[in-house]
Amino acid sequence: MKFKIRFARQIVGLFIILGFGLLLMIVIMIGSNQRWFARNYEYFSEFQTASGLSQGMGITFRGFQIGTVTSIELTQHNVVAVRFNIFDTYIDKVTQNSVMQLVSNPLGLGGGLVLHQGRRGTDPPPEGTLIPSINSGLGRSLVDQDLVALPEEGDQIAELLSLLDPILRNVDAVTQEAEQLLAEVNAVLAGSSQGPAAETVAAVNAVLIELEIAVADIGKIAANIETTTAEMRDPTGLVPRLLGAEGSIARILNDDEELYREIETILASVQASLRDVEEMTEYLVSTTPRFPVSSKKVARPLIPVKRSSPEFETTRLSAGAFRNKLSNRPLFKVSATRSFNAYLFCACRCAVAHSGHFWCVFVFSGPTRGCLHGTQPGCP
Amino acid sequence: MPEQDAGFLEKLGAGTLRRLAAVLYALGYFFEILREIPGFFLRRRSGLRVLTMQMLFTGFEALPVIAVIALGLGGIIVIQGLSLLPQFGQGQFIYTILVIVITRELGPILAAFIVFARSGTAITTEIGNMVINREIEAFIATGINPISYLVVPRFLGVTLSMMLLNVYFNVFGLLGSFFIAQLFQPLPFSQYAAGLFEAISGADIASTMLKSMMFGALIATVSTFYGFRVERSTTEIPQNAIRSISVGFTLLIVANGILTLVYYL
Amino acid sequence: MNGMSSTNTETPGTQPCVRLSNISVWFEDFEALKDVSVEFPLGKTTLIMGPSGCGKSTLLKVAAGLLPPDRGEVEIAGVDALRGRPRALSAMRKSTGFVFQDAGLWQNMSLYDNLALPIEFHYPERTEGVVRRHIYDWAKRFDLISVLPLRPATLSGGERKLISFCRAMILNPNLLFLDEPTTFVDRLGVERMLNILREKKSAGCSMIGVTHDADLTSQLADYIVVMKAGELRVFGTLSEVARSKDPEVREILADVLDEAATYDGDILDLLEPNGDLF
Repeated sequence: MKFKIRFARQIVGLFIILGFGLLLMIVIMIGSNQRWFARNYEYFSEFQTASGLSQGMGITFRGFQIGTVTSIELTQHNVVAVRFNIFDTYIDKVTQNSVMQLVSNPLGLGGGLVLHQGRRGTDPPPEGTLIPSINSGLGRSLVDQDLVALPEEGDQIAELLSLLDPILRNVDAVTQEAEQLLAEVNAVLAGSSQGPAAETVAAVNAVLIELEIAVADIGKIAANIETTTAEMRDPTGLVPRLLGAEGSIARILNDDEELYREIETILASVQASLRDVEEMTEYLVSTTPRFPVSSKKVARPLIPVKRSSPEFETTRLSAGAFRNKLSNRPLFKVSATRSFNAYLFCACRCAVAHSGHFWCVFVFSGPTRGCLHGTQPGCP
Repeated sequence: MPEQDAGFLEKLGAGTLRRLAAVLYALGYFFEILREIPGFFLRRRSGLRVLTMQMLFTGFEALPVIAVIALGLGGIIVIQGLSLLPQFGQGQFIYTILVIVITRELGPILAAFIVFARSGTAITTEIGNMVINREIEAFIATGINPISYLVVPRFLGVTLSMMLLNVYFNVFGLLGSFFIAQLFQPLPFSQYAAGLFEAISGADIASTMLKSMMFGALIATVSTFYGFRVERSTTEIPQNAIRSISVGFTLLIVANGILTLVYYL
Repeated sequence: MNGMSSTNTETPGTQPCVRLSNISVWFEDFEALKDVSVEFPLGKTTLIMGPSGCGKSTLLKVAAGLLPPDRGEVEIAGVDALRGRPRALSAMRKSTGFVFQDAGLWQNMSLYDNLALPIEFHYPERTEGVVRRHIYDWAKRFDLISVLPLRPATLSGGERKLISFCRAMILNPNLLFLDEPTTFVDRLGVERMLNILREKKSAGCSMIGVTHDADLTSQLADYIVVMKAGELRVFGTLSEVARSKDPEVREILADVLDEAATYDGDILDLLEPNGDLF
C-alpha cells in the first residue's frame, strides 16, 4: 500500500492540527497586537467642532499611538464630547494637567489628536475625567500657567509647504507668461511677427536705414563745408584769392550777390536735413520708449549670454533646492515633476543703456540666454 | 401572431419552471446533505475512512499547489507594493493590501478554485463511475444512504480541507511575502509581523474562514450533485464534470461577491 | 422439502412482502415494464422467468426499490418505497439483501470492507472484532478468506458473485432479492449457495429472484412469474406454471431453463431433478 494511504490518518491528523494551530496562533498574534486582551483607560475631552475628528482615530503622544477615539457626540450644550481610551502601556504618559490638541494636517495625512503632557503632576488622572482641549478655556489657562509641556514647534514644514504650493504654481504661471512674452518680443525684434509692434519696428528699421543714408549725406555735406571753411581760413589759399580785388569773390560779390544767395540756399537745405534727422530721432524715441534707439543693433536678435545677476541666480538655486525637497513630499510630486525650465528674466541696467534710464532684459535659461543687447553676460 | 406569442410564452414559462424546479431540486439536495450530517457523527467509523481519504486528497495533497500560488501572490504584492507605495510615502499600506488581497479576497477564492479543479472534478468523476458501475444501487440495496455515506464525509472533508487550506494559503502568502520582501528591502521579522498584525483584524479572519467554509460546502455540493446526475453511459461523466466546473466556478464567484458585500455592509 | 404441499394450495396475493401496482418503466423510448401489477407472497420464494430483455431484472430492481418506476406504486414490507420516510426505509433496507447480476461490489474498497461497510453503517455500536469475526465466518463458507484484502477488480466473476452474495446475507435479511445469483459461479459454489438459501427459506425468509438455473428453480421456487416483453404472462405456483398448457409459457420455460433447447420432454422433469418436488 502506498505510504500516503497507509498513514492517511496520521497525515490528515497532522494537517488538521497544524492548520488549526496556525489559525490559533494568528488569532492570538492579532489579539496581542490589537490589544484584545489588554486593559484600556477611558477619558473624554471636549471640542468646539467635530470636524477633523473621527471614531477610531488614534491618540498620539510624540508620534506614538497611545490610544484611540471611541466615540464622538454632540452634547446638549452644543459641545462635542470625544471619548477615547488610552492603552495601559502608555497610561503613565497621561498626567494631571494634560491637554488634547487636534492637529489637522493640511495635506490630509497624519495629524490627529495629540496629547500634551502636564508639567506638574505625575499620576494619571482618574478614569473618566476630562482632559481639556488646548483651545478650551481650561486648556488655555493651563498653557498660560505653563503647566503644559508643549513640544517645540517641530513640524511646521507641512503648513509651510501647503502655503508654498500655490506660490510655486503662481511662479510657474508667471514664468510661462514671461516665456511667451519674450518669445513674442524676440519674434517682433526679428521681424518675423505681425501686428502693430512689428509694423512699428519694421518702419523703424526702414527709417533707420534712410536715416543712415541721410546721416551719411550729412557727413559728406559737413565735410564739404569743413573743407570750404578750412580753405576760407587759408590766407594764401583760394579764398583770399577769391576775395581779392581781382579775385573771383570780388567778382562774385560784384555779380549782384548771386553767389551769396546760392550759398544761403545750400545752408538752408543743410539745416532742413538736420531738422529732419532731429524729428526722426524724436519719433523713434516716442514709438519705442523701452529700447535704446541710438543704435541699429536694436534690430539684432537676442544674443546668448551665460550668466545672469548673482542675486537672481541665488534665488533660482534656492528654488531648485526647495523643489528637490518638495519632491519627497508625495502630494507635491505632480507639480514638482513639471519642468522648471521656464525663462526667468530680470530688468537691470546694461552697458549699452548708457543714457541711464533704459533697462535691459536678461534671460538666463532656455534657448536664449543673456542680455537683450548681447553686450554682457549678466546684470552688473 | 398570437399563436406564436403563446408558443413563445409557453416555452418561456416551461423553461422557467424547469429551471426553478432544478434549482429547488438542488436546494433540496443541499438540505438533504445538511440533514444527514448529524448521522455522520453517530456512525463515525464507516464515514471516517471516507472523510480521512477525502482530506488526504483534497487537503494535504493540494498543499504544494496552494503554497506555490500563495507565495507567488504574496511576492507579487510585495514587489509591486514596495516599488510603488513608498513613492507616496505610504509604505505601511503594503500590509493592508496584503491582508485585503490574500486574507480577505483572493486567498479563499483561489484556494477554492484549486480545490474545485483538483477535487471537485475527481468527486464528480468518482461518483459518476459509481453510478455507472451500479455501486450506488448497491448502497441503496444494503440500506446505506449514498448521501449519508458518500456525500456527507466528502462534504465535511472538502469543507474542512478548504478552511485549513485557506489557513495555509494565508500563512504561505503572508510569510512568503516577508521572505520576498527581504530581497528588496531587508526588514526585521518583528517589524513585519507588527505591521501585518496591526493591519489584519478579527473580522478579516472571520470573513476569510466563513468564506472558505462556504466555498468548501459549495464545492462538495456541486461536485457530488453532478456526479449523481450521471445516469447510464460513461460519456456522461466528463460532460457532468465540465458542467460541475462551470456551474461551480460561477457559484463561487457569486458567493464571493455576496460574502464580500456582507463584509462591507 | 417441508411445507411444500401446503404451498400448492396458496394463491398469489395472500400476504405480500412486496406489492407492485401498475408499474411502468421507460428507458428513453423503450417501455421496459408495461403496467405490471404483482404481489410477491411473504415467506415464499418467487422466481421470475422469461427470455433475455423481457424486463425481469428491471422488475426485480423496481420490486427492491432500487429503480423508481415512471408510474405505479411500490410497497416493500409495508413501507412505501417511493415516498416512505427515510427512517422507515432505512429500517426496511437493513433487513433486505440484494445479489446483483454483475456483483455490484464497491470497486474502491477491499472485499473485506465491502462486507464490513453494511455492518458498520447499520450497527455502528459493534466492535471491530465482532464485525471481523462475522465477516470471516461468512467468507469461510465459500473459502474466500484469502481474498478478503483484495479489491473486486482482481477477482474472477464467480468470486465476485459469491462476495456479493455474502454481502447480501451479512445483515441476516428476511427479504432477499437474487438477480441471477449462480451465473459464473462454479458447481461447488452453487452448491454452497443453495445450502444457505435453503436454510434461509426454512427460516421464513422471503425471496424474489431472477434465474435461468434449473437447480435453483427446482429446489427453491414456490411461485413462478413468467414474463415476456415487459408484461406479466403467468403468475402461479411452480406446479401450476409447469403444467401450464399455454404453449407460449411452455416455450419460454423450455428456452429459459435450457438455453440449448435440446430438451424436448416434459418441463416438469426438468424442474424436478431429484424427483421429490411434488
